[in-house]
Amino acid sequence: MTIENYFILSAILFCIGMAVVITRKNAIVVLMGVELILNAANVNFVAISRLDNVQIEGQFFSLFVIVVAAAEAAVALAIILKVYKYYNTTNLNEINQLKG
Amino acid sequence: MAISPERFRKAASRASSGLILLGALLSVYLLQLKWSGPDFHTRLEWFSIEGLPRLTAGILLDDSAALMLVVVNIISFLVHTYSTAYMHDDPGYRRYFSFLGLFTFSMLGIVLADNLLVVFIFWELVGLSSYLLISHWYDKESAAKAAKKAFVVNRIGDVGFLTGLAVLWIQFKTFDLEALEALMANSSIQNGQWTSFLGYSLNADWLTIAGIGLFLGAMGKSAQFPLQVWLPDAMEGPTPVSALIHAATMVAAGVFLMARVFVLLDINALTFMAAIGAVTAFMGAVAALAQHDIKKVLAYSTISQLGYMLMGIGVGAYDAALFHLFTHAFFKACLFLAAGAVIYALHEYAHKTNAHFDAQDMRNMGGLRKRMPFTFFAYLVSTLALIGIPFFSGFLSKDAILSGAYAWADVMSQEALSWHYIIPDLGFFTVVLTAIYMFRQLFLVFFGKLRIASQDQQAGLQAVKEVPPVMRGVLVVLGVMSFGIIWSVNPFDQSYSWFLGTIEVPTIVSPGFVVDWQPRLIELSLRNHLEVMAISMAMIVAGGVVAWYLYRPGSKYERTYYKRPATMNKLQALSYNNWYLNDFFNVLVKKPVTAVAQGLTRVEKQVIDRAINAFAVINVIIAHAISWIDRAVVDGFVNFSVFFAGRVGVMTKSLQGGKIQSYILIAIMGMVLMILWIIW
Amino acid sequence: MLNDYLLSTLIFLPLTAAVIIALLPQPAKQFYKYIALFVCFVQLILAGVIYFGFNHNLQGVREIESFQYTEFTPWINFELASLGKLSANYFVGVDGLSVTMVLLSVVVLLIGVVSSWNITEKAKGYFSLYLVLNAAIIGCFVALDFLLFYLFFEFMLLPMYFLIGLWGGPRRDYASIKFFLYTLLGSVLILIVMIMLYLSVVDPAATAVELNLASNIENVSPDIVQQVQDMLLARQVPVENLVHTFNMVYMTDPGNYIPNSVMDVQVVRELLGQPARLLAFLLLFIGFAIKIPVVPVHTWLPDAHVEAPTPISVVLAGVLLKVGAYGLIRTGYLIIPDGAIHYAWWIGLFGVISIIYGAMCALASRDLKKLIAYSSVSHMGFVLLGLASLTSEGVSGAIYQMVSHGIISAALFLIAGVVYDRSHNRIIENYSGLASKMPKYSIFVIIFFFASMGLPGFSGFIAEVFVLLGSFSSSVVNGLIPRWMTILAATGLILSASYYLWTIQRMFFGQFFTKGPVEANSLTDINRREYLMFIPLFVLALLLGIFPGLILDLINQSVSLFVETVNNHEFKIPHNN
Repeated sequence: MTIENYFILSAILFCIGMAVVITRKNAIVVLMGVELILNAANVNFVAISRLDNVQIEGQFFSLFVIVVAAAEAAVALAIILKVYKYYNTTNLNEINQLKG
Repeated sequence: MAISPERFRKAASRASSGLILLGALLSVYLLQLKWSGPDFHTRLEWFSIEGLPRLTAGILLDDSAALMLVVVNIISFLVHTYSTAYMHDDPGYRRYFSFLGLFTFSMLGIVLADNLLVVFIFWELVGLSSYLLISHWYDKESAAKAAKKAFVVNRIGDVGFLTGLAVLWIQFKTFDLEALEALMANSSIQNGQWTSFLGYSLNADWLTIAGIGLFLGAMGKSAQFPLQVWLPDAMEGPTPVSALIHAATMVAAGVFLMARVFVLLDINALTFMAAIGAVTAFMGAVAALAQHDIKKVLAYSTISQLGYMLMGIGVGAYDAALFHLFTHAFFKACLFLAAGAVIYALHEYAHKTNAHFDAQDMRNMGGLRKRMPFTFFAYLVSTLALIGIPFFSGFLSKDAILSGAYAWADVMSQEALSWHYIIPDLGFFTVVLTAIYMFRQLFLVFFGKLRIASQDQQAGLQAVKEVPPVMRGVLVVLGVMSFGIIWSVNPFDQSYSWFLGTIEVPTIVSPGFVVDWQPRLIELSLRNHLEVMAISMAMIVAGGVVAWYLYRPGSKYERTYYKRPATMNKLQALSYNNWYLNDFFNVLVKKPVTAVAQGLTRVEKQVIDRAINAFAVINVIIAHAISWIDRAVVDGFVNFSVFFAGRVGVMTKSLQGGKIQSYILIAIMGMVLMILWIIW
Repeated sequence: MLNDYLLSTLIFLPLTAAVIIALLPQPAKQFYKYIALFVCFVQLILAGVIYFGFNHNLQGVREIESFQYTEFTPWINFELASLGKLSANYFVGVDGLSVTMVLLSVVVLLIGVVSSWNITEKAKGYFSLYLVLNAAIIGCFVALDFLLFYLFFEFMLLPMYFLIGLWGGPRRDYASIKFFLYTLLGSVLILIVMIMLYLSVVDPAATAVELNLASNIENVSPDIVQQVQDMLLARQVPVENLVHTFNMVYMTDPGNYIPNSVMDVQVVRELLGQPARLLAFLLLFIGFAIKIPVVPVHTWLPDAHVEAPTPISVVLAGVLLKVGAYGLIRTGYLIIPDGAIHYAWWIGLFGVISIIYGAMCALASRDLKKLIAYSSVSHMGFVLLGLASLTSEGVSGAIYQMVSHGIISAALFLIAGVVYDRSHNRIIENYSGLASKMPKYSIFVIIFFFASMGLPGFSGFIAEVFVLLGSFSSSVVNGLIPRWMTILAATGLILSASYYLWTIQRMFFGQFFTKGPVEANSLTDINRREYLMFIPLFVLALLLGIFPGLILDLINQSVSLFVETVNNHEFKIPHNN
């Protein structure tokens, strides 16, 4: 198992996440995409951390990311809930208040 | 005159007659002063053009002018007097007299002017007054047309006149007659070049052209072939006008003009004039043969006599031509006024009997001798004068012309037989014809029975009345003037005449003239005098016999005359229609001119205007094209940039659709691009 | 004092009055015509002052100091660096050639106002435009600066266009646009030549000042001018010191031309394969020929006349046509005499064609006004023929014809106007025997018809006779015009007699009746106002016919200098070697 395989996995995850974020209309699914991207980053952190046996910042960082992601997911879900209440939808296309 | 109020019409006309009488008396006095004395010439400076000799205007009174003055004034006075009676019921009475006055004025102008330009001015004014008087009864279509025709035909002659003037002008830079005579004598012809004293040089043909040009003017006024067509029509005017203008004075102005410029003419122009004169004399006489209108016969006779006069000038018989001019003025005026008296009487007759007929048509006349003795006397005397019977004035003058013509033919042909003899021969033949048509008229009008009465009317000849005393008096005066004794002591020999004794033939001064031409003419004409007299007497007798045979009272012609159609055969038609000259002019001049005029108008409408319009249309089309280009290309460019900016705006706008995902996409793409840029 | 500003007063008086009329409130409507009448009357008085104060011995033409009533004010002056200096001045003055035209215009314009008396529709516009036209016409005749002349020339166009287009007959749009386009084309051609001349001619006096040969323009003596001209010829004048000028009098002097310029007089320059000066003359000729008008560029005239209101026809025929002929004399003949002589034969030919063609078309016209319009074409042909002959008789005759035609044709259009006013119909066939119904009118008609056909005693006769004599003697004096042209032109006299007399016969003689839309009752005889127009014109035509000296004395000196200048010009005759 060379390190490239982890990178490839991470890239695939990132791309899937990215694709989900960009294409899906449901806010919750988008949130899931964001999680995927974060996890792609985590995979990278962990994989690179294996190359350095002395320090384990990489693994700490990934744990930190997971924690933050959990918090972020909680906040995001709460926001989505509020949005749903306000707009009666979670379809991002219909929520275009930012339109210039 | 024209502005005098209506109620003074009589007084005004008397005043004008009186003034003319005064003029006449003055002119007689002048004549008596001038007679045989030196010529009287006075000049006033008229105007000038820088770099050219000053133009003058003035009076040149020589013997012929003084005589002409008397003739014009006397006849004008008589006609004025006659008209007061003849026209007294006419609504245009005042107009008539003012025009008559204008005419007399302009005629005197022609007579006295010392300058060809001034002559031309009065020449035209005479034409104007003739126009106005012919169209006196302007509501008559035929009168209006005749007036127009007279003026236009005269204008044709005037163009010739002007050409003649122009030639003289460029050679001599003056129009003064005396100066012209002196300058002409100083000019010379060498190698076909005519060089004047002033150093100007022209081809010698222009000398002839000048003469013929001036003669063309005379041809118009004096009704010479082929311009004689206007004179018969001019009879539409009142009869006194015909007598004054179209018989005695104005038409003679052409002859007078030729006499004035006689010395300037060259041999070719003179020959041309003689030929035209002879032809006209003959043609006029033929045309007079078959007319039925009493005035038309006289009109054609006038044409014929004018032909004689111009022939006379042309053959160098200057004095004889002038003599004939004066005698003719009196007897022809007399004939016309007598004819006027007949017409007047028949009008009165028509009034009285409520009949409607043409009072000028000889077919309605006859036998008037018994009821109108004065008129008959005047008519008879002047007819005899016209025919040229001894003891009457016409005999003297006509024989003088004929012997001149005969002598001329001798000189010109140089004793060999040549075409020149045709000219005196035509003259002699015309004498026969003159006798025929005049006797015909005399018989048909004054002898036999009054045809209109015998055919239609209850009231007979008795209803015809002699004209008022004023008219009678005038007729008698003129009739007396037709006696030969007034003009010459010896009624058989014109050389005894006081007239010919005084009028001297001026010596022709135009260059290239054979010096002994004139003396030989005079010598020959003196010698052949008896011969000519005998021939012409024989001719008159022949004519008289023919006329008596054909037209005497009771002849077949006379009996059927009332119902006779205008023409019976081709020859009569030729004469009746004046050689078809009118049709000739119509076909040859009037129609082409009208056609060309119409054609040009059409050309203008259809070619020039169409071209212009097409040009305009093309312009408009081009303009449209340009405006399209303007819209499509120039404006298009502007619009495109606007459109482009708009599109870009729309596009960028869509980027900010408020869709977070697309923002992210763009951000990512941007990052990707950045990364790509970094790693490359 | 008055004399110093006489001509300016003549020009600017109507212009001021036009502004006043335009500013007056609508209720003052009935005063417009009185203002116009007053102005024209004052102009007449001023013209009288000019006439009686005119010195007959001063020649003008090409001598700048012998023009009279001159006024000179610098107008446009600026440096054009390498192109030298531009100088256009307000320079007006009269000599024998123009003074007659000024007098004629003033008379005709006054008659025009009287004839406009019944115009009530849009009176404000009408009278102010009329006065603008008035100013432009006078300006045209007195301008001695080409730019000024051109300005006035163009200025005439606009009011004329509106006067025809707004107050005209049924087809006025067509007529006014045709008129406008035609004359505009002419102006463009003139403009081209003007620019060519401007580029080639210098003002010797101002150049002398530039070269410090004199302290100011007043101090320039003939010697200095000669010196400048010599320097010019030797190409010693620096380009930036050349003062280009529009002065028409300087343009007549060959010494003022810049060597090797477009219109150079020493060397033949070519444009489009033609000698430039000949081409320039041709352009000028065509430009003015449209205005005169000469067949075949005359077709705007009948339409414009037929559609224009009577007073405008009067002004158009009486004065505007003369502007064309005058312009040709003042610019074409004097500035490019070599061209004038080179093309004399053709000018004469076009004159003769105009005479015959105009007369023929008049003969075929059914419309009285059209007939008179064509007779104008025919009569203006005499002007051209007289000019082409370049003899004293011919040129005097031509100018005399201009004056005479101005008076007589004005009267003729008034005559047509009388009938049209009453019945709104001008077709000749619709009338007959008017002499019985309108005797006084008929008298005037007959008088003016005869005057127009050149009856002696009226002005037209003198003019035509001298044109014919002049063109006839041209063959021996300078050999420009062959004799057959004169004889052909003389036949125009027969034709003119035919169409006038035919018209009299058809319209005025015979039994009275009317046809078509003509109301017999509407035909009343002329009134006092119409007398007021006819009588002065009649008196003038008669006076000038009997005393030709009245005009000839004014023009004699100038004409003789004109003829001498053109015949013996020092311009090199261009020919292709």
